[in-house]
Amino acid sequence: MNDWTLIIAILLPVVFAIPALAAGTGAKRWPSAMALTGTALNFILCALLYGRKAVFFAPWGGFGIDFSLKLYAFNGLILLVAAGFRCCAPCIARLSSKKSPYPAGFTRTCC
Amino acid sequence: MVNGAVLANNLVVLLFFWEGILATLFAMILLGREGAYKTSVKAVVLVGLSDLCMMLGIGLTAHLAGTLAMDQIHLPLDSAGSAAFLLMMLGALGKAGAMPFHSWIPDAADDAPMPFMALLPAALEKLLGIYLLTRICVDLFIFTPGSSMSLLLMTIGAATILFAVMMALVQKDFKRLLSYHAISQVGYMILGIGTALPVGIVGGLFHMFNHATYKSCLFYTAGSVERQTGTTNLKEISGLGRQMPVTMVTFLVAAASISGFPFTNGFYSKELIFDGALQTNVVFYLAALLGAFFTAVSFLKLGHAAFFGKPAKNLAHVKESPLPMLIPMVVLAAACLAIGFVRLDVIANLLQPVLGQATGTGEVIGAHTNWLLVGISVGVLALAALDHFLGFRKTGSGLKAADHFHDAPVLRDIYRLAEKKVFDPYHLGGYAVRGFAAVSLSVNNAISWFYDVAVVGAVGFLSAQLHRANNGTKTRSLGWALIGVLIVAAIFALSL
Repeated sequence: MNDWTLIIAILLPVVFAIPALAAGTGAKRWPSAMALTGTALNFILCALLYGRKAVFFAPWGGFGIDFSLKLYAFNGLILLVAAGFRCCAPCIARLSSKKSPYPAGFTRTCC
Repeated sequence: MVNGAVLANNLVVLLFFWEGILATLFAMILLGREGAYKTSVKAVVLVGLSDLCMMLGIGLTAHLAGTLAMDQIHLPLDSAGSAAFLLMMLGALGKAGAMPFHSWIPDAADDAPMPFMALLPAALEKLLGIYLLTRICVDLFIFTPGSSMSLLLMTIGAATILFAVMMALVQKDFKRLLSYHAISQVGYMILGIGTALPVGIVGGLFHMFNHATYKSCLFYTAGSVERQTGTTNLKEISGLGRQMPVTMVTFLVAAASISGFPFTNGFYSKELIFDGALQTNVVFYLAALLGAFFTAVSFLKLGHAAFFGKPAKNLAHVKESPLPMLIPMVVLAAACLAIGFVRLDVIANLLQPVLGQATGTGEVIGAHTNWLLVGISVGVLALAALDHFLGFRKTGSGLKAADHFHDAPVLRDIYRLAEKKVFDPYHLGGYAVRGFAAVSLSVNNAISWFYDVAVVGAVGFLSAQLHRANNGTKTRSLGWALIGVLIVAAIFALSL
């Protein structure tokens, strides 16, 4: 049986990344807030998924090319750790970009 | 993209998300300094090349297995299987930043934003690359200890460790030095997984998580220094320890961890890798040990140069970074120590179960300490400290304490070649592309000359001759008509 949580895990960062990236250069705070919220929610979702087994299968392109996702112990752990590190990055990016020689756009791409 | 790549259970779906990550990498480097596009192009070319290998590997694997579903593939490493393994492995190594796909990482350290370095090359890319490598070795192929593919993978791992750490040793920039260590540490993971032994695979995976912890912490400390001083050039910063004590302490903990100092997480994962390497071949163990020595030497140099000694006069105003920036550093440094203390729980509860049958017996890997190996590792660290002390006494500078390696007889020539980018595949590829472009241009010019000069000239010449032969007078025209009739009559007569 298809577990739609796996699709949410893929789409959630995208949903937050699109408005954050689409924001003009004038927008100062809210793109960073979106990035932080997106990564934090992603981390919470990955933490909830950790330890679970789930599959999602939908026929796609034919010739064996199916949209197939599978969650098990190993990739659940990788997912959780990766989400944890992505959660740290917007905080650091927001602070370090204030005085650094780089533009502030990086914070938005952390999703 | 990351979530999609990790969750994918179909090789084409994996490839789709994998390439999405490459696009993100390009965009993130592009956000860096002016001129960062060169580095982003370099990253895309190198990682894209490895992805091309992966595409070919996916095609071959799917052909051999008769399916694209990853959980149904378990191929033997025969001749065709080995080719598929090799191509898939190159894809994973490219993402992990191992040799020969590594050279964009130090350049990115110069050009890209610091949080990018802490996030992507230090943590996410390694996680994904090593995750895929583990899946290739454990799930997709029947990978056995002592097989030719195992030895190849271990050789790549050992070469990556040594080459990258030797380059790190002579760097004079905080970020560049760390970026070379990010490459070098991947070598340990590859070496561990390449053993195909449970102890090595678990060691490699444990090192992957540990590396993400201490390397992110180290890049954050570099970011903290850059934010407060405006530079990461080690010639311009010194004695920051008093002004930035929290940054210094977190740096020291993470540096101890990456150097394999006892009781830190890096020490325990390296010991597992050493154990696996020694069980396979002593040469790989010695290479890994040599890498550990140079790692410790370069971090002694880095720590000494940045945080100890006399404070630079122009940096007297420097203060500690703000609290929100220190929190992640402190958390990660604490994790380096905490994971060391709960290592057996981490291995037993997190790492061994994920590998399932591959770990063999139900015994917790690393539960029994090999005191001989521990003694040797501690001896290597002591030697590194002695080397730094002697280097410092000789030169009077922490930054120059490791310069004697750069000036050593054989190493000097190797460094000279490395500084000329002889070992950079992108640079060599540039020569090849330029050579190919020159040959292509010559061929194009030759074809243009043939049509524009030779053919036009020949037609012009023939046209002039025909014009001279028949100038339009009635007598000439009749003469040629008569000759034509005679020729036709002759042909007709001969054909009878």
